[in-house]
Amino acid sequence: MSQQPVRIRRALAAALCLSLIAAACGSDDDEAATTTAAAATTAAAPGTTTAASEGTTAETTAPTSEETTAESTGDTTESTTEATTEATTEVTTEDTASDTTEASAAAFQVPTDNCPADATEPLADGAPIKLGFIGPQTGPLAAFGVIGQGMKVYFDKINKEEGGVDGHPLELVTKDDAYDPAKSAPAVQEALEGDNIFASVFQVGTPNVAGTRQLHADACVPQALVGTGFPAWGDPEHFPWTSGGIPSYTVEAKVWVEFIKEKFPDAKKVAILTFNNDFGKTYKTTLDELLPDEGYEIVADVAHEATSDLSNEVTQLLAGEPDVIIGGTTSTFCTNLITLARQGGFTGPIINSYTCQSIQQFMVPAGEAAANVFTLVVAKDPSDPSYADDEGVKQYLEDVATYGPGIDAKVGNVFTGYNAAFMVVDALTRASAMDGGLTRANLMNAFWSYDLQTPIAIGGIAHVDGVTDAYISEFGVMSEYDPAGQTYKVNDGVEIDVEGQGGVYSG
Amino acid sequence: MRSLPLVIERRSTAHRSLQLLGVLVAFAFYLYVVGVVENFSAIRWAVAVTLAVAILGLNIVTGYSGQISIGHSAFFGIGAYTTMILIADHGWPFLLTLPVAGALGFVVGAVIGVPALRIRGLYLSLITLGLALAFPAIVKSDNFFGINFSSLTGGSNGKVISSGDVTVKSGFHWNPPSWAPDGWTTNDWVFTTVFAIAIVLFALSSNLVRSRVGRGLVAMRDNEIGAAVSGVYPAQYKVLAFATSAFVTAIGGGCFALASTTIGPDTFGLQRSIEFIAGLVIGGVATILGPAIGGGLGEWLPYWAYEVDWPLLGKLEGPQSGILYGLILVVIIFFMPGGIVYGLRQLRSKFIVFVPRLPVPQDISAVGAAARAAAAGEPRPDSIDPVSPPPDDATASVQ
Repeated sequence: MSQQPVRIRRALAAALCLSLIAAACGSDDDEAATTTAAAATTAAAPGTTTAASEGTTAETTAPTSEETTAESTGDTTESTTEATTEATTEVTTEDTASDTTEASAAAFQVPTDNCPADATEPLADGAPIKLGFIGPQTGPLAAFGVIGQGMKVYFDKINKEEGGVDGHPLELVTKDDAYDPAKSAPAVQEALEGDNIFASVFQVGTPNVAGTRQLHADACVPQALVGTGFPAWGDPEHFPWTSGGIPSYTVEAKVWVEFIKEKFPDAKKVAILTFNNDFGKTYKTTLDELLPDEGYEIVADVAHEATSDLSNEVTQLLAGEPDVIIGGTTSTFCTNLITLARQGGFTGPIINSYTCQSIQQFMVPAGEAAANVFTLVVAKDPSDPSYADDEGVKQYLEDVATYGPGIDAKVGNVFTGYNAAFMVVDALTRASAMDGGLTRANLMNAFWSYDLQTPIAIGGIAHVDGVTDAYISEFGVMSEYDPAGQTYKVNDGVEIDVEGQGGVYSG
Repeated sequence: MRSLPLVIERRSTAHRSLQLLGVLVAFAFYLYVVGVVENFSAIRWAVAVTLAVAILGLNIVTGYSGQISIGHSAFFGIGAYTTMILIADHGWPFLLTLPVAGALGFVVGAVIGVPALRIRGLYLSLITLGLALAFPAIVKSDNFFGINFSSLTGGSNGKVISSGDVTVKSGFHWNPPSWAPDGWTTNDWVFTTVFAIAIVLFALSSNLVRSRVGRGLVAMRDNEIGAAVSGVYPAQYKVLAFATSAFVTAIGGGCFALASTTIGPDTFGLQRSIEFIAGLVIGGVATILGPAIGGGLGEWLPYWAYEVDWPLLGKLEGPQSGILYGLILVVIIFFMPGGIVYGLRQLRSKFIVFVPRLPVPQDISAVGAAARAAAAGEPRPDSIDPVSPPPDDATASVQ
């Protein structure tokens, strides 16, 4: 990034009572373990570590060595133990692919005792690596199907330019479940048994993932980088074969509360709108807990159905005369909320879910009403002119033009797929170098040990270690949207880096 | 050498042999799914069978009783959730959950049938539409008349049971029993169970529509006033039609829970209801085999539309497969307006025609003689009802 964003030191750790990862300051293992254990208080917020103490006592060498390597190359993204009451945040700009190559000592090992033999057998030389994308290709959410297109572009690029990974060409297998969890199970079964996929990537839909978790675990096939932010996917102890790929909604809600405190210190009354499903309820639960603790009054707490046009709900929100409105919803509901709230006379700030950050799809249709709207921007939008010179975006646009002519590269979901494929290739490369070669077990271990800067991420490092940090994407910039320029004012935004503080799912 | 079409009397030996042939075809189909089809497709066949059962239920109320219901997804969901909750949370054996699911469906169906007494046709459909829309919302709600449904049903997260054959934590297994042939997988056993239940329900429905009650329902559909005058009590029959139909659909839902192992609230919304209606119409309204075909197409047609590799076009991408699906439905209805079963019947009628067995004519000569004797010389017309007793006074003999 060319300009220094405004940094605000924040007392996230103290305020949110999250544990900090053992620092990259070279502290010895025992100290790291006790510090983590001591700091693992989980008072207010769900999704923070309780399993950390058990985990760290078992594997204390690898996490610190990873961080030490990161530190010595000049990049720090974790909070240090020295500043237990503050979290300093810094943005790294240099490194591209992960280069922490303690390939043999992966931080986390999936248990393989109950697995069929092919979980630990290396893939035959030259055999294709089949990656499954099971998601909605038809039905009301078919727009997510283009994620598969983005994935294919990147896989084709790697196949053409590098001959695949470790000599294995990459093959994408897509299955349709029309976003219906009842159709996911047969689709996954077919992918597992009929196509014999090596791993499933970026499966979409919280109930769809929940319903097929056990199928993947039984077959010992990675269900990696799932495209839902439900916090339960950060549970490597109970479901090691499932890992999340997008920021957790719990973490996002916490970020909102902190942001309101910082940016709108005079605000007292908050109105909340959430989608009446697990996605919205995750927001609601976190907000309902945190806001009163911080002294805010929740004047309206409304949940809406998928069939609503929001006019009733917005009337309820505005009736409480809030200072801030929080929209824990997605898709065109965000646009409706903004338009209707402004029409109703509300001029205050509106906070938007990060799932709505697509400028073309959700912000432009709101027009001028989208001023004074804030979102946790986590991804670079390919249609945003301010990223025209960004390396990652330029490469992506080139690759789509070369390997996927006819695909509209400006659609954010295509970039999402491309990015997911980027992360998969990184994991495959690391897994091939591990002891035992490219096996499903090693691949899952690689999925639990990321330390990577991705092309789509606005900043920060994608990091998990499967032991104390189970959430991969915990960086964003709370930015105001600029309707005139149709862009986010990221440079004036508030950077949030809670990398590692999401901890591990604690049920 | 006989010329076509063959005329076969019902209940004759020829008819019975053809029926036996039908049973053998069904059995051959069963063996095909269990033996030949790949394991992961067998489970799709199981789901198709459960959809067929659901449409069978819909057929009772819409096909035979003439009350259009676009709310049957709710009964399907009630059955599925009942089975899921009892298995996953309370450890009940699967077969015991089916009567409970059916009973619950029956009760709710009866309740829905009550407005049907006052409202007809499209207006009744609106009420059932409301049911289809309300069901997913109720399932997800925290507080509906004081009941926290979402904690009971898992809310939008849905519910999962595992019918896998590995010993894992989820607890429920529907594994083949020890006496099953070797090589049978869980999916095969699930299909067997579901198929057996479907056969029983289809047989019962077939008997229902041929019985007095069934004739009453059809009469009520075709001419309500005439039926009422003839002794078909509309209130009772309408409510019972809804209740029975919901009972069958709910059992289909219970089987669906077993076959698909994971359900969510939006699985049972308006789209599912429309799928049922479409399946019923495509299969053949007011036939017994129609629902079976409708269920099969409802499961497989979208899948084929998406997966098939066309010679010139390749695989259709995403929403384009929806266009193909719609096109196929339109073509079927265009060429076979009554549905596939009616189309097949027309085809069959070129080769075989079934005629009802005529009643044996009775000997009326004795009755006639007695009547003539009683009437003392007055001429009696020939068209005397041989069943009614002879008149016992002179004036009654004048017709």
